[in-house]
Amino acid sequence: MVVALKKAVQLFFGLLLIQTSLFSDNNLSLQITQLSKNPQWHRILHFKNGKSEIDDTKFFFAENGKVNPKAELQASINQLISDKSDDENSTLCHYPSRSYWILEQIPTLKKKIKIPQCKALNQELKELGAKHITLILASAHINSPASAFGHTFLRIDNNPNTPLLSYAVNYAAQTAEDNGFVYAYQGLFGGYKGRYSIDPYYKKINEYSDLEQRDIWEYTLDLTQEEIDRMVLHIFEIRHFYADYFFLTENCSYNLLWLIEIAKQESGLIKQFNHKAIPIDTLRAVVSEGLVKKEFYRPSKRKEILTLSQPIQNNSIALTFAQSNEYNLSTIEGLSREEKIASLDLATALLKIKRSDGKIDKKNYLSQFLKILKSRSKLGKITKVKPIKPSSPKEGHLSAKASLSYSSEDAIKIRAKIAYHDIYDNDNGYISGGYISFFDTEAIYKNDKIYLEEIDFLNIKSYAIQDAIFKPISWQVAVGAKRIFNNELNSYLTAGAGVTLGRDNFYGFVTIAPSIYYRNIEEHSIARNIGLLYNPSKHLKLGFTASNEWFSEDREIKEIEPFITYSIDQESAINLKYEYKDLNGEQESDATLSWFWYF
Amino acid sequence: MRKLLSIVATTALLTTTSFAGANTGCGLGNQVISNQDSVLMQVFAATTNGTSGNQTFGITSGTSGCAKPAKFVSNDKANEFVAGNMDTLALDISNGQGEALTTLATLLNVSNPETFASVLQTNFDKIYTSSNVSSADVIDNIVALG
Repeated sequence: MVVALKKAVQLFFGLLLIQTSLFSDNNLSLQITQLSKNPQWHRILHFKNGKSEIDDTKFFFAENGKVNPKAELQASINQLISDKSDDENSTLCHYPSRSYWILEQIPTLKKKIKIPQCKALNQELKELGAKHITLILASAHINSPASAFGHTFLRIDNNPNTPLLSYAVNYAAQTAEDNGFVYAYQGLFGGYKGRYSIDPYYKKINEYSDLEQRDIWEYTLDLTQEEIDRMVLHIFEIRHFYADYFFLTENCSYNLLWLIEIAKQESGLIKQFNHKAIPIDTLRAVVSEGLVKKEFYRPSKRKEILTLSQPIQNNSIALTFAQSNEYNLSTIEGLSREEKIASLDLATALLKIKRSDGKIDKKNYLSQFLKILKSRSKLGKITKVKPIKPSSPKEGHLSAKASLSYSSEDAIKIRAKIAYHDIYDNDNGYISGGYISFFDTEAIYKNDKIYLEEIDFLNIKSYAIQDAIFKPISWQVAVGAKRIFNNELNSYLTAGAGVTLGRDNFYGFVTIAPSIYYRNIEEHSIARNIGLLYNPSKHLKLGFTASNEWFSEDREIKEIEPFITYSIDQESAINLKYEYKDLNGEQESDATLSWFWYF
Repeated sequence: MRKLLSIVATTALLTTTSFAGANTGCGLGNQVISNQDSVLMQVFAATTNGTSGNQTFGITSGTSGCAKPAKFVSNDKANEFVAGNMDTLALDISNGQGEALTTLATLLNVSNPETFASVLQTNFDKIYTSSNVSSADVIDNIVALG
């Protein structure tokens, strides 16, 4: 009886034990089901629209982890429990972002897993000492279309006063391709692998500001230490894996948004970018989420050079010295101290450019470099004038545009483009003189008929202003289809070059541009374009362009076009333009009032 | 000068760093030579918003592979920084001001950065003794100014 009772009690407790463990397993599985729906888990997996954007299979523990966050969570937990190793490849050290989150969500797991030391990871985290995160925009460079859309990356700061010691986190496609066609094709269709990388920030400054002459804008993000730590752990996990790189969507700027959103969980950044992610738009999204607390402008080397050379702008002795190859110091002996300083500083800057362009050998460079610096060191310190800060990129118009117009010929015109900035747009926040349109299409409704007027697949105009020091060539290239004489769509290709003079907000240009047209027969032309553009404020832009285009068989098109654009805000503007055309003696004119909508 | 360079034990905290990189030499004149992309390449790149290049993860703990200064072995971070910014630092020192120079002053825990900058400018010849000067020499020469 007693035995039987004992057995019964044992059985009861046994059942109870089983029950409890069953209950706890149920509980865990319930918890996993719920956690797998947590948006943060989806962010850690870069999960969007039903699948993870990471294409590296090693990123997933579950076979269907790419499409099934729950399976991936379960598999990650199993992996954490079963992995008893203690080295740098231990699950927790290799996947710190998810591991940290899982253990934070299910603290009881800590008892079940062996926590490795992760020495190398800890060492790296310590070295970074992340206290601040800064979003960096390397703006477009006027004469280098490769940079036309700008580029963004993040900076991890320990001490905000010494950014040169900070690290840059960059996302980029891996390629050494130098064939433009292959590069464009592969880039557009995910042919390259994108990865995150970390480098000292000073190297990025050398690359963008010094070498490529681009302005750098630094935006310190408003993040707590906890948020920063979350981001850094994620960087240290995701660095091991690649995602297919898509130039328009899953690109450098877009992939930074994952990092920012993992830190600031409530910011809905990723979902705003589905079809294209242009750096300047991602910056504006981050700004409008209220995540930016400070803006800092780092002028390009070119702007610094122009500023420092102001005291000797019209001094031929000084300019001759700075632009010479021998740097004969005796020639500037008679100049004032300020003029000498400007001459030497300009000489150094130009010498460095010569070196990076490969136009002077290292030995010669070094001896000249030290000679000039030595001479400079005898002249003491001067108060450095900073280049004028241009309008902030965060203030410019958004980069896609649709417009609705009514013309005096009683036609309604609809025009739309994917990107980016054209001659009618206010230059505020953009590089003045750098115009690029991508998939710009116009349809016209007239006399109860609607027809396609023009498609510009790509239209670049680079009006690079020449000054006392730099003499860049302006150029243009366009490819698309438009209507000319026969009033039918002709495919065309134009490429031209010229000169632009003036200053940032008021300049004039002349270009010569040959074209090839094709529809059934090939036709050639050559055009002379002149223009004057004035951008007096963030609201107003005025322009005047005129062109003569000569075709074979003595045919000629003359065009004159003044316009005015009034920008209301970042999303809208009104444009009024007048077009006068002379098609081989047949004249027509037309005034058009347009509403621009930027999005 | 010794007082300026109050290189105390705290700098030993900064022992590990990594301004290592294939392009970084130990002497002057190692700036990157720009890629002269073809126009076609540039035009295509314009439409595609991409950056290219090899990915690195440059937070290795260690050194640039440059010789260490004799008198100043404890401050790897300063060594690496000088090695990685030789030309910029030379320029800043000759000017008596600049971001690289300020950063060096911070790394060396200098108590009066203004005086530090001015002393270095005055002694430019003693720091940059020849065009073969290495980053280790530069630091040694700076320390020797005390």
